[in-house]
Amino acid sequence: MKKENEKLTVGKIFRDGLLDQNPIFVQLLGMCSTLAISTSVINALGMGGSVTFVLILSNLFISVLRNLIPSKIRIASYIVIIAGFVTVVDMVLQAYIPSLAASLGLFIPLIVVNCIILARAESFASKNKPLPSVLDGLAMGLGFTVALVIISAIRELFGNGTLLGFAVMPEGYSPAVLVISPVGGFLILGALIALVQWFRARKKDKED
Amino acid sequence: MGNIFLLAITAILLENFVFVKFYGICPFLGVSQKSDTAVGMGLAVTFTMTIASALTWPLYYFVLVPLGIEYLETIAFILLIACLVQFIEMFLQKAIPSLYSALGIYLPLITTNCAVLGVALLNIQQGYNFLESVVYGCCAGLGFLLAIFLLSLIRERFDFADIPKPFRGIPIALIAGGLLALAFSGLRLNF
Amino acid sequence: MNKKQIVALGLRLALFVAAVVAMLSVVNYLTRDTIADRIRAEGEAARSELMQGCTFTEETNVPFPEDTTVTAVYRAEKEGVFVGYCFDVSVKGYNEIGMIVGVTADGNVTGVKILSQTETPGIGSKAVDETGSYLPLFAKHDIDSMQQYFVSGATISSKGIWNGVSDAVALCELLTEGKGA
Repeated sequence: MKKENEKLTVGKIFRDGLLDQNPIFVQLLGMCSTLAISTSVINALGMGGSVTFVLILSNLFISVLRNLIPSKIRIASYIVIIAGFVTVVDMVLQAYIPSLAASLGLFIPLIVVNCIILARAESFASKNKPLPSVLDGLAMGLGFTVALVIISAIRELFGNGTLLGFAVMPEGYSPAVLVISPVGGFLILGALIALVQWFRARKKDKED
Repeated sequence: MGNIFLLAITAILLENFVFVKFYGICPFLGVSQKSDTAVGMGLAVTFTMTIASALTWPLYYFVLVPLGIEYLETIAFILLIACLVQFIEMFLQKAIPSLYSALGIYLPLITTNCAVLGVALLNIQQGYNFLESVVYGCCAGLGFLLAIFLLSLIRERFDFADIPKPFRGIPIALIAGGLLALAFSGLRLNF
Repeated sequence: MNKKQIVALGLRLALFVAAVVAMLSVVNYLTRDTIADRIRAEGEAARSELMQGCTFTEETNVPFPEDTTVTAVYRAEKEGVFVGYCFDVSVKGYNEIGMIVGVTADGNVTGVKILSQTETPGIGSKAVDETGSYLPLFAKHDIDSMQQYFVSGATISSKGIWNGVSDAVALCELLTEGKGA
């Protein structure tokens, strides 16, 4: 009985992260890095992986320390913890995956101020036990990564004629540079969020 | 002098912080429904970015570099920015209450605005000297102010427009932002 | 809130900062050498691509002209014979661009390799694309006639790169003259 209960919560955490509370498409968090780095699928995977890593560890530590962090300085404490893990990611990427570090550039250190991480710290990790917090970090990170990959696949395919760096469009396809430029980022993200809102509204109508 | 001028034009128009570099998108979308609040947010961000540039530059070159701890750049900068925002808030509350009541509610949001940390890190990455850093910080902030003001003017008209339901709110704001970005990218063809 | 409480909170926060700094210094110690090695290896790979089959030694005591964008000079030798120089150059386009320029002893540019750049994809990135339409031109035309070419929408970046390459050519001239070659 108890096991089934746990299973349900795990399922809910993942459904929230990937669908119902998807950080990008539903909560509309972390727009800066979403727009900036979604020009190639490789970048999206790198950014998604980095954010997931930071989310899991910051959620874990904030959850473990939640009774030691006075509420008056909690935001400052969260930022210090998050900044620590972000710097670790930055150094590791520079040492072992330099091409990714170069193409993500300043958006790696800027994960510190990515609203997703602070929002999960404040609304989940500070109120829950370590294990669910880690799962929440993983689920939200995956949701962020999946959304990023969808956006970047569209931009890379039409803007560059490639996917993961491999040419997939037929020869003679002339890439629509607009899609990969900042303008395309705004337009495609806007259209995708509208699509998600349309689906959600339709689902809600059916349920009613 | 010509360099400084080019830097200013670049930061405000050619490489606009919002439309080209994608810094500060959260407040750009979140606080742009009304033009007066948008201008308030833009001014608060410009003010903080200018001072943050003026403080993080000496912090990096006179503290972190001599001690050989450049790798603490991110954490040192974000702590300094958090303290700075707190300090500005307290100072405005006591010294200029009218400005505080206008900007007050935006100030706590600025700590986690990536434009502020972004400009501090960019100043170091691009190797700007102190004067260039301060000018760049101020002009990048003005670029943000211009962007959020323009978007708010468009969004005010949305109240009277028949926008398809799924597009209401953030999606149409993103699309308006994209069209503004298109207009800005046209400027670059001549440079 | 009294003073005692503020001090207590401050100390608590300082404790967190100290713990995080300790963690970072460990990670920095573990990755520092790898990062330095990697940057060195990237430079070496770029140089041997620009001047194939050469060995390189860094020149010290280079009389850098004022306002030059060249930051380091490497002397290229093939089987003991002086061939030319590779120059590390750092220029400002819209953003800083780090590149290596190969110049032969008689002043011909062998190529331009980009080491680091932060240009915007789809806009300034065309100027720094090594397989694009702009950078390969440097190996085909002399530096003065290159002035007529630029990437539309990335004129400032193209001009920045041209400045860097022409600084490298000028410094090469200066160095070879100094040796009475």
